[in-house]
Amino acid sequence: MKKILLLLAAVVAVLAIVLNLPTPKTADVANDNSFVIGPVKIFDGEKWRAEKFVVVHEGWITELSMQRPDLDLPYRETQGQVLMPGLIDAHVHVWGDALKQSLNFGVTTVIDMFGDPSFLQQHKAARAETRQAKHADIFGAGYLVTAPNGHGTQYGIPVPTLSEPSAAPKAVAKRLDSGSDFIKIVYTHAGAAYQHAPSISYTELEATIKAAHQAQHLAVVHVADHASAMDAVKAGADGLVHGFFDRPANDELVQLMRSNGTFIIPTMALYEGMLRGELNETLLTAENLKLPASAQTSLNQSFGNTAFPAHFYENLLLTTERLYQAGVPILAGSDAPNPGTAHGWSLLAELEMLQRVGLPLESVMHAATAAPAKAFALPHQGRIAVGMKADLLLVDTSATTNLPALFHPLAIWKNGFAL
Amino acid sequence: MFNANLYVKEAGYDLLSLWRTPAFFLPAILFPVTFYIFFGIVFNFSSGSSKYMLVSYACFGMMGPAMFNYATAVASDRAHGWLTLKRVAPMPFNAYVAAKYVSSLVFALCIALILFVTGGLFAGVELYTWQWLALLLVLLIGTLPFALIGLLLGLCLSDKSAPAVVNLVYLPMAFLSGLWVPIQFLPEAVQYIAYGLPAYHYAQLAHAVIGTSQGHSIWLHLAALVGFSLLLVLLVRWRYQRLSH
Repeated sequence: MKKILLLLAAVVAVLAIVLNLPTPKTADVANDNSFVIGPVKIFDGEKWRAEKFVVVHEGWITELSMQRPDLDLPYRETQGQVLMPGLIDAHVHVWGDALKQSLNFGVTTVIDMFGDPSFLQQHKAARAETRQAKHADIFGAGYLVTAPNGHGTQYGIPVPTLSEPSAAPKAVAKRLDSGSDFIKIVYTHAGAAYQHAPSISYTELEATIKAAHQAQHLAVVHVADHASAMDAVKAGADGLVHGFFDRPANDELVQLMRSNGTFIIPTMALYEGMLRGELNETLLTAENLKLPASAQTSLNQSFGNTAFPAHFYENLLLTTERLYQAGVPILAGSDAPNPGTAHGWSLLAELEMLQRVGLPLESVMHAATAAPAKAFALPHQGRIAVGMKADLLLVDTSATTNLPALFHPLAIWKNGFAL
Repeated sequence: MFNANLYVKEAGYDLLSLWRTPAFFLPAILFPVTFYIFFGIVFNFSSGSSKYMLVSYACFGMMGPAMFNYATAVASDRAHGWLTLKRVAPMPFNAYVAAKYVSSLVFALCIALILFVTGGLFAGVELYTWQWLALLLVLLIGTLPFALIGLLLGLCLSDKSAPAVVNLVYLPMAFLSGLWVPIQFLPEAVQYIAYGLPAYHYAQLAHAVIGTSQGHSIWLHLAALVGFSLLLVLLVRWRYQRLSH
């Protein structure tokens, strides 16, 4: 009898432990993804709107209106704060909990520039759905296109490489088969002055871009210097996924990018880490922010102590400024989690860099919302408009004039669910 | 004649003897927990999300003691002549084997609960209740092939060599099955090796509960584990018969 009681007690104890383990919070009625919000000042990704109210139905934006619509939906009353699209980080490498970390900073969509195709595949369905989610949407390149032993092969993930132009169509097809949303190519100009990994040739670059375009997909190129950027633009790249700092963009490059409509993701916050390394600390102190331990790890790493000439930092800013002045689309991207960056946080740091370049606030916000959505043809992300997902940020009224408001969002909605 | 009472008694005494050797069971329980805290939470440089890491390290933590408990206990019982005594005693020998399995299940249960609580408290793992329960069941029942590997090793090895050999089987198998670093980040060749390892199928079944398996049919993994178990039962019987001569 005593033994049976003992056994029962053990079973009860086990059950008690298991039943008390943390479970995901299920959607409660108060946090439904159908609601009316307002009055708010709406930045739709392009410009400030006159409408004051937004209707969200099952996670989709269904109406913008001047007056509060008479609908039988929960009403989220606000006091004229700023409502803007969730941010898009146009250059990341995600795995593990990165999509979750990003979302905590208001980044509701990320564009992955090289990662495990199966990770991308796993998360593809969520992009067109509005189920409750605690992670950002992901669009991605899957495997990049690079030379044998080239940049991108050093991370321990086996990457198929390209070693002749005739193999380009097959390489592109293979990536599209494995789910790539666009093609990302790594390229360095043959005579580049700095130390770099082996690169594909210019002919291979051209062939790959052509193959991508024939398959109706974008081809974006990783470059890290002026000469390589020039080659990539000449070869027909749709975008450059990095800026460069060996010299400021010259008129020829600026004009060519303008006439070709090539966009650029300057990743200046990343470069700042190499060239100066003051941005993160300055910003975190100024904004009185404390990052989670997971973010701190990659933020504290560095590329090593290569000393760069001081004017490289000026070159970096000048390139972005010239391209912006010429009307070249500027997209905000962090390249997290590279040394000195962290998911979510570093996109905000990049916005600060864009402001340092001299972009007006609307253009800075545009660079992290509608601009990448347009450049990568994201169907439901990055804008406040009918038919878009309700990936939204509510920020302080000061966001009409001040960037820092974005560092402290008052509310974040993903798929219409408040975080 | 089947006498349930004998089985219960033997299992009870086996547990009691374990309980009286805390120097064995405490490290055995703490090892996987420490390992999980170190590499699954604090220094999580690999690419798994928190729940992915919990499932991987739970598999790692549970298969180990199943092997160790059998291998070391049986090898030392053999070395000390205790096994011979057990065999000439009127108690069915199966009761001895079963008792050891019950002990290793209790072990595994403790480890699983500690890992679950650790993951839930410190790594922010959130699973539905049915997932926690299903995971626990899969993890517990799935220790069978590993217990059989331990039994086989225990019947084959001396008491001195058993722990070393178990480690040599345990650690490489865990690594090659993707329990430390997610399998998709290992070279493709490893994938083919993994198909031949029970730990891979065990881990995939556990991952299926939280939807992070590689997408093969769960029946395939189940069949593989049942196949391994049958094969091991045959090997154990063969080895046991040879000991009799």
